[in-house]
Amino acid sequence: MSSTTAPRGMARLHLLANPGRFLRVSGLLLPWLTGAGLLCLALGMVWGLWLSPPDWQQGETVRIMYVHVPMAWLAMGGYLALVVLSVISLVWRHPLADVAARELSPIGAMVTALCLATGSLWGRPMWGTWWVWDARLTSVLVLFFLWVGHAALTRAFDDPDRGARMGAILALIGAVNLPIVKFSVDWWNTLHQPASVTRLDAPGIHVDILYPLLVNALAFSLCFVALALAATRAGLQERRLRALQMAAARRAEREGG
Amino acid sequence: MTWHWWHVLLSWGVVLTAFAVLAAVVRGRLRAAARRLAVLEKR
Repeated sequence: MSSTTAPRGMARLHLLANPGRFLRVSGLLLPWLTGAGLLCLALGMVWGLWLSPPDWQQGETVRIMYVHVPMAWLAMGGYLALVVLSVISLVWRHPLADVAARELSPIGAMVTALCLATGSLWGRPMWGTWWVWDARLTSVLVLFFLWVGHAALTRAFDDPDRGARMGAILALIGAVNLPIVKFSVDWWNTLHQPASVTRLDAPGIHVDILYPLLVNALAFSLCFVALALAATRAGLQERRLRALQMAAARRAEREGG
Repeated sequence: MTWHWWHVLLSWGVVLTAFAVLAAVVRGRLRAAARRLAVLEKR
């Protein structure tokens, strides 16, 4: 990389991360993302609950996989996004990354909780138990606590910048849990089955189940991104509101004193 | 309908409800912030 491309690349990054520009671009994107997400969700629901056949082994309970697997992917993918935002926040001290990370954690906690709940609802008829302390389930529970911890920590300080910094450090420490979640089924003998879609060779499931699963994964991913963008917009507006209120209070104090 | 179906419907119901509730909360926050910003900026 030449010496001139790095500052130019940084300038572009800062340009994209400008809060005003983010509000404009996200305002244009949001209706399309939401519309596409809801459309895919309607298709995924009909395909997953009605058109797709029952599995020869799992029977009708395979239909739980159409919501459980997307929630698991979003819980991990979302955490990866949180790690990236935390790096940006710590290295460049960018306020947009702080707000986005702060707004992402409740949504991440929600999808991780949904992953655990739907997994439990699948486990009862298939394994005969709601819960086992195997490596996959336990590491996903730890992931849930990391999400909740991040959400709580970023809101625990009066100074939002300090909260963002503490949250970013927690998110980076928690990143060590991601490979543990992913490879737990290979490293330990778990009741949870190994990966059947995200494998280096061909997926281990039939297309009758794979296609509705992918449609539902796309649908929930679009809805997740739309929610995260909308929440970040709300966070930015609330931040601006606080700044205006502080300025008004200072002005009133000067005029009064 | 078998009890397996109830688990299926409960799973879908919980997921869709959670997304809908969170979307409503975010929408409410956006509207409230926009309304309060408009009032403050008018002053």
